[in-house]
Amino acid sequence: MIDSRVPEWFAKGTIPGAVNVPFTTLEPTNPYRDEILKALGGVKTATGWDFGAALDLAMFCNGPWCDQSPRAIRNLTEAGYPPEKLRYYRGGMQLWLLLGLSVQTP
Amino acid sequence: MIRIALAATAFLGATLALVLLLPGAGPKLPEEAAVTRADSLLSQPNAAPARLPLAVAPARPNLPQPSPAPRVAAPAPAVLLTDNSSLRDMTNGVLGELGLQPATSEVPQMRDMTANALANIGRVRPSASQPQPQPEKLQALIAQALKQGQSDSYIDALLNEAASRGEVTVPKALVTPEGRVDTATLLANIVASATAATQGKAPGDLAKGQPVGGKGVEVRMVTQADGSSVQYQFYTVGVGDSLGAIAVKFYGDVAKFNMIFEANRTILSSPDKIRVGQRLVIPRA
Repeated sequence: MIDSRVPEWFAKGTIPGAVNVPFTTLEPTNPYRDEILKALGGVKTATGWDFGAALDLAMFCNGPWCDQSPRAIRNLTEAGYPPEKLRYYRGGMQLWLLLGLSVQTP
Repeated sequence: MIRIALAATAFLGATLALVLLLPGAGPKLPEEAAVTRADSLLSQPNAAPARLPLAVAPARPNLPQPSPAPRVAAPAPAVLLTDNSSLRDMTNGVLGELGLQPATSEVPQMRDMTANALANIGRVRPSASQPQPQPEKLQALIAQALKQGQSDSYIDALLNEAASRGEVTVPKALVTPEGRVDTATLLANIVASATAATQGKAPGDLAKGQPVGGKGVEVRMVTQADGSSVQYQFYTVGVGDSLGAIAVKFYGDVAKFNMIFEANRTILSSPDKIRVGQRLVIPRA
């Protein structure tokens, strides 16, 4: 479960068990992105990335209107992350809070 | 008939008089309402400045006296300008709050964010990013301490503490029989290398001049079966010695510890496994 918002928002409260990986760190412009892809289970090969053993991810951000998770997902799939390993909770924090579900402040 | 003509003349005269007295209002009768409204506002420009631009704008071309128009229009650009600047400030503020700084500081921030993200992932998936002690860390530790101008004993304590916690890996040649880090040799080597780098000398030059001798050193002539004699050097390991330190003692170069290690493979399983009192063969350089 990945909270793709920036750390400031993550600190204000998130879905319990979520892990903060800001969408900005998954942009191709981030020179350290490879480290994250490696941590997610990707293996760098001669031609690109092998995500055969990569983690299944569920992403969310602020709400249905929020572009951060879609951007993160787009960047991951462009890097070769298999789409079937990616899930998107579109409701995000907004609907989560609206439903009165519990929130964890890290 | 005359009455009618007189009445018409009087009417015309009155109309002309009105037209002449109100030159601005006369020719544009259809827009009279707008103009009069604008006029009334213009007559008291200080009373309602905020509403002026809206009310005056359509009527301005019809006004015969252009002088009030610039005075009224003047505040408008000023308002826009301040708006512009505050918008820029606000945008920057929002970007700052979102953690998106202008391009100059983006890379270090990215590094921090990436490091945080990695730490977060690692918490969930410990096998993914097991923190492994890295040789750079030892270098960084030493470099930092040296930059701070710390004393040798401080660096010694620092390195030993870090090594005992398993945070750094230490070259095997620099482990003493007590299981400590031979910081003296480490630092001497750094100093020698630094001197070599700055003055173009070989790293060994510093120590080579020192006479090999003193405690623990013994030199033996061994006569071989064919009658020729070969000189062997031995060294008895003392407290606080490391293989690197011994290499410096005899060869003036830490890197040559491997020669000693290879010559003593029979009694040493690993370069860091030397014991006090061991008698090591020192091959000739």
